[in-house]
Amino acid sequence: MPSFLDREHTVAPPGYSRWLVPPAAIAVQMCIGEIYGFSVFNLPLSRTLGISKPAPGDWSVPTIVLCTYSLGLVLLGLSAATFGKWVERNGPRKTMVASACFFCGGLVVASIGVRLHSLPLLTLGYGLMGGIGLGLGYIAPVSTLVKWFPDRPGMATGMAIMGFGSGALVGGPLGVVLMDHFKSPTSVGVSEAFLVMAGLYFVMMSFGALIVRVPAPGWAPEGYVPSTEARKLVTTAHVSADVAWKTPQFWLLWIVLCTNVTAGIGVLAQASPMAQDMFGVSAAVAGGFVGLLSIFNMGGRFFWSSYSDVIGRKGAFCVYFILGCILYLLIPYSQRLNSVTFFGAIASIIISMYGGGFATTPAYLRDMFGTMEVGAIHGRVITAWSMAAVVGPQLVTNLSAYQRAHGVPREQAYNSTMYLMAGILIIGLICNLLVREVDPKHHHREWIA
Amino acid sequence: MNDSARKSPAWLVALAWLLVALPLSWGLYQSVLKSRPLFMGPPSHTAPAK
Repeated sequence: MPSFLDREHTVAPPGYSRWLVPPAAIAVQMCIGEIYGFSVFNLPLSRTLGISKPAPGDWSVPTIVLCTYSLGLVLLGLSAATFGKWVERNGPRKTMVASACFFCGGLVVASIGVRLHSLPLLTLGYGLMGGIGLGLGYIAPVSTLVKWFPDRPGMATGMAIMGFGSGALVGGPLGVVLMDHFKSPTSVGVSEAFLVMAGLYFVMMSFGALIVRVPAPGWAPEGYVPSTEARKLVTTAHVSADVAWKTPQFWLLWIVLCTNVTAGIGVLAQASPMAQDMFGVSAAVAGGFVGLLSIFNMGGRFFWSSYSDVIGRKGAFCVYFILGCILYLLIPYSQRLNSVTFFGAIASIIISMYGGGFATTPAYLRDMFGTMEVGAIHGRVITAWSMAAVVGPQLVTNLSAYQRAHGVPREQAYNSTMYLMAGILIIGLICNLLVREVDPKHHHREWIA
Repeated sequence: MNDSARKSPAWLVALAWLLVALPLSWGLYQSVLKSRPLFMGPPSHTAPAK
């Protein structure tokens, strides 16, 4: 790749505004976050042959979800873990360009796959290539942002990760608009929509890559004086990625993220059927409920992560787990009251903390392991998300189905799941409370900021 | 390091934020529109499905 993509050529000149970095990060995250809005393509993709209704040979929705959404999220975690050190070595610009090439190239391949009705091509494009683009793009700006904002790392990573949460808000409606525009008697419009999205996203991600910079060695914000006093659970040392994952802190934080995501994604993925089953609301109202959750998922990432700068990361996760546990236990009560408004309020706060957990994690890792290879360490922790993305929805779906099969009324079938989620959050709380400073024997000796 | 030397122009910072804020605002607007049925009119929900 051309040298202007290299880390050395992205060092910021004196006077470069650090406030250019968050929009660069958001530009990339907003595009790859499109995967959260992928569900709008499920039904049209299941009718690519029959157009108005599924025909023999058309793909089933579970197959589509498995080959695109699920595989993409699994590859996100695997590629973030695999390429984390490469990302640290090569810097954010080259990583963002690589992410754009994989993600947008994957959309083009998926578009061809839809046009030829080839499931392997769709899987290769959206699931494999798209998933690698997701992993690279997700971790690309993290270590850069925490270095630019040593005074407010939670807020900085919150802005970037908020961008990922906003991907569903933008990508879902954009996909619907494009499919409506391109659909015809011979096409559901998905292939064309993928192509246009590939072009738009490539422009947006390239813009992010163009303006991103890394701070010069020794740079600090004007007026910022690093604290000389040792702050509890905020290290001034650094731990390499290869050492970090051998520490108990890494695995405690892995479980902390996994439990927080499992509980949240279980509700997020099943929000619409839950609202319909528990309260008998129409599909339109349930759709509105999903839209509301998307807004809180995005807003929570910025709000809670910024708040963690005030109360500390451990304190923030204690809030997520304790408050989350109480709220999950209140969901069956909201069903007994038959109050969909109360349920909506509870679920919105839960989802805001689900997003908050994602956004607080990079800052937590920075506090524990320093900034030297925080991007690579974050990449390895992200595998917890892949695990949770598979486990969470399965828990909700299967447990509620089991309850119904054993005679529990449909509106009460989710109650046990809510108690289970509360239990999962307690496991996360215990792990969070066990987190201590990393033993100094693991600190890296040669790195200079 | 002194930030006063050749500072990034304010218009560039504003433009960068505008470029991400525009699609974000559109997406937010679409989601608010989608959420409206949740808050509109008398409770459209019936008794919970049995």
